[in-house]
Amino acid sequence: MSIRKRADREYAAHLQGTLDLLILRTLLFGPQHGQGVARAIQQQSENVLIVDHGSLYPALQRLEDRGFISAEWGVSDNNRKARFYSLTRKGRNELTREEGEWRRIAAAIGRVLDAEPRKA
Amino acid sequence: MFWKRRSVRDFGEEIQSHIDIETERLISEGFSPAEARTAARRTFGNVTTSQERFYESQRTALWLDDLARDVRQALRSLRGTPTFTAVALLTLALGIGANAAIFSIVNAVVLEPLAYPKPEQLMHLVTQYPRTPQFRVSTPEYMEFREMNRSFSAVGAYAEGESDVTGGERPRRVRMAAVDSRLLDALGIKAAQGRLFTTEETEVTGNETLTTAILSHELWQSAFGGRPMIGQTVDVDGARREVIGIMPPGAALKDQRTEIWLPLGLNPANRQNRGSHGLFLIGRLRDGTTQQSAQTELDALIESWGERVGVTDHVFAPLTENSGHILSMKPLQQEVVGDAGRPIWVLQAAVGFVLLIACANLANLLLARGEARHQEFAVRRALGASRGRLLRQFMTEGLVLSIAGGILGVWLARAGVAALIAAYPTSLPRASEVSVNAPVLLWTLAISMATGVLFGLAPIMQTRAQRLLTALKEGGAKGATGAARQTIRRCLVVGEVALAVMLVIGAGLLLRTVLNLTNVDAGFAPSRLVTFSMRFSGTAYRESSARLQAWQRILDKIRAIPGVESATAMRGLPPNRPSNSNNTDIESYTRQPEGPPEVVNYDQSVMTGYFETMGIPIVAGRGFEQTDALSAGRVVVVNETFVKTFMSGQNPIGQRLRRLGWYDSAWWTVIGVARDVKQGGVDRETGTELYFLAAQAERSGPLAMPTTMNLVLRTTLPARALAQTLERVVKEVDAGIPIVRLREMDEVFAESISRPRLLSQLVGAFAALALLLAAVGTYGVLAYMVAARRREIGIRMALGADRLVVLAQVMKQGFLITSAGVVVGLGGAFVLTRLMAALLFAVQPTDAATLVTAIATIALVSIAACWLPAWRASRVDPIVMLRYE
Repeated sequence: MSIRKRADREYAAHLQGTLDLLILRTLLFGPQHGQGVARAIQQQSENVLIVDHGSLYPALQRLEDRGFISAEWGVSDNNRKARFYSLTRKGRNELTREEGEWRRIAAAIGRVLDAEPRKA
Repeated sequence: MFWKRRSVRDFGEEIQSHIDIETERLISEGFSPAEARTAARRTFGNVTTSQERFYESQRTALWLDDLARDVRQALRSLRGTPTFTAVALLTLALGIGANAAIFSIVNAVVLEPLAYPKPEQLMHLVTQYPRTPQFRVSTPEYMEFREMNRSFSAVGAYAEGESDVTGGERPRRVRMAAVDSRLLDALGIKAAQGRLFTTEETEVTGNETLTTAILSHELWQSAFGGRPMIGQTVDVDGARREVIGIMPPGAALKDQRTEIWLPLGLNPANRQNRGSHGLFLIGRLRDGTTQQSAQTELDALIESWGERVGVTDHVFAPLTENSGHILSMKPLQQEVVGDAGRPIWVLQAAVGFVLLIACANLANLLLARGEARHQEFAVRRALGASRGRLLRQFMTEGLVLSIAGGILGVWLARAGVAALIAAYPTSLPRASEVSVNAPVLLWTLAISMATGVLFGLAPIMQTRAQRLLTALKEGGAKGATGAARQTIRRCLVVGEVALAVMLVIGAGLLLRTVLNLTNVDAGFAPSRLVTFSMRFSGTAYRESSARLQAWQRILDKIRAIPGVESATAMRGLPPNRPSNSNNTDIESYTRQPEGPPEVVNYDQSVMTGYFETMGIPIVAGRGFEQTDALSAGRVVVVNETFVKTFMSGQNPIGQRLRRLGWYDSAWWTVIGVARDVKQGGVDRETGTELYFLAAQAERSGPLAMPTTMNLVLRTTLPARALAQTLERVVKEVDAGIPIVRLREMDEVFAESISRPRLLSQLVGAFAALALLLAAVGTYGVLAYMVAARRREIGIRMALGADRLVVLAQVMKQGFLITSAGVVVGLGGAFVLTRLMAALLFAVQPTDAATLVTAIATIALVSIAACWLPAWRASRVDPIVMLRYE
């Protein structure tokens, strides 16, 4: 495999991890359906993060398979049938861990970006 | 996570609900319902993609679904190209069919255990002398071994022969096994009806006659129509015997298709005649005893046999170059298969090569097809099919083809094997067991799959080449990829040619072998000789003199038949009969430690007129004359090898010899030397041989006159024309005696070399198939090259290139491929033909004439294969080609 390809794949994994983190975080406020999750991420990020719906549902499925969230059919605010996702205990732990990790990396990146050029 | 698996519908509903919710939100923000719906759909993106990703995440469930789809698509695409499919199927059916057929032989003859309980415990025991690897065991030796060994739970003895059985209206000659009860115990055979022999029935204490018999299932059916036979009597060799049992179908001693089982009648107390060897032994190892530990015990016994049994004369002793004799043991299976194993494996290798060539050809075909379908693949990739998905489909196409080819192949194999066994019923051991059965079907399935994967790989190589294409394009060398792809195809064809070269050389060597075997001078003139076999074994012929008279009467009547020039009879029919060695005391010969022991390999009893009828020249002294039969002085004729071995430098005429263990110890005087005649097979060294006149031998003992003899007639008539007359003549002497194996001597010769002939014919056929396939391969790759370069050729011709030059160039390409293949093939043949050396006769594996002929054949075929594409290239019309530009 070429170096370029490996980098691509790691980048993708990274982004995927980010989406998982955002979904878990959104669900911290209570059960929500897919559209609600997408809308919440978009609003809270002030329209910077627009969730690709083609990635959202596989991500939800993945999280459900790993036992971080559970799902059941329910009825939405405007009486629509919708599949509601809620955070499990395992998911809550995962969120705490992932959030810590993310903050650590963000801080590290921030420090690098803020650094003054060094004099020789 | 299986219990959580969601249905695709459930997922679809969720997406629908997402779009509905989004639509309502947009409406509440002031969009019209239609606009809102479109926008919601747009923001969601491609519903199908999302669904597909979900679908793909459910991997396990998909597999079968995909397979079914792939198979359907493969069938559709194969139906679209009927010529390709037909060629591919035919190639595969031939390749796989040949493999299935040969494997059914490998399986039945070599791999499948013998049809006895725990067959791996069965050992075959024979005696072994210097220069005589396999001889019989004497009664005392058998009894001693039976008593002394601790490794075997049962050891039994047998002798084989033929008997005349009269059941229905016609007497018939059947294959007979004389056995003791212990042998049946060792084999573990059970009777299907009645019972087997008891020990009392197979052993004797004096001269009592044994009166029981067991019929084989097959003889019971064919001779007695399957009617109740237990307790009935049958006439065996003129004596009445009671049928006490019937064997289960297929039960046999070794591979001999035994028809009747008779009691052996050994006296366990007999410790005389240690040198009178008449038995073979079969032993069953005790549970838990290995062949090796039994061998160790046997070696130890032989080391001290004399001390253990208290004898000094003719006792087992370790073998040296010129002395000693031992009891030797090998697994019964090995004894049954004999030396048929090697030719069978050679055949398996040959068909393996054919299949590899077929694979290479199909790979090439698929490559060519792949190029034609280039567009299709590009479109499908652009539509989102993954590379893995496309590859899987290639594989499916390959597998569908190869499995269909395999099914056709099995059908071919069935027909082929049946025809083979019918044509050569006696050339293969265990021939009756050969069938296309479950293991063969499994093997065929396995090689079909392997074949499919192997040639299905071709498109993968192609995609590799395509990646190379992009690389080269970037380098600006346009058109070079064509060359890269061509390289793969050329390598495949070079490989095909190499394999074909090896096969053709192998076939050539085997053909030479058969030719050499056919041309061996057997020492007598076989043309215009007709032969048949007869037995005088009934009670009327108990006396030696009665048999002699009967033989003489028959011969007199036969000599009187118009068209018969002369007739005689002999004990053993050359050129292929078992050795009947005898210890002989040669008066003038004193054995040196390094000299050969006085064992004469062949002992021949003949009637008068023998040398004249057979056309065997007497090189010194004289042959037998009528007067010898009546004269008191005993005379013997020896062969040239006998003189060379025991009397070199002396005048053999007038020397004396006597036979040890014979009825009397009278001296026989050598009166003549006959030219060497092949006795143990045309491919064997001629052994030493003694000729006795039956009429003289008769006087020395009760069994000295043979019961079974082969009659030989020198005649202008074919065997078929004589059949009725001979039948009538024999009936006049004794109506109860059948004539068997009536045939021309040429036929006897042909049968004696039937196995090498069968082998050479099969390998020859496979080599021809290989040549054909390689020629098709060469043709294909050149034709493709010409097609791809038409434009270039057209331009060059427009610029003034000569047609002949173009033709020569294409031929040169073909020549390069062929010569590369020949070089590789010669290298391979150099290694492989050595493994065949044991199968060759009077030809070296590196025989120059064979190599040259093989290469010339390949060259001719290759020229033929290259000619058409080359000619086409030279016919390219520059105007037409340039118009395309």
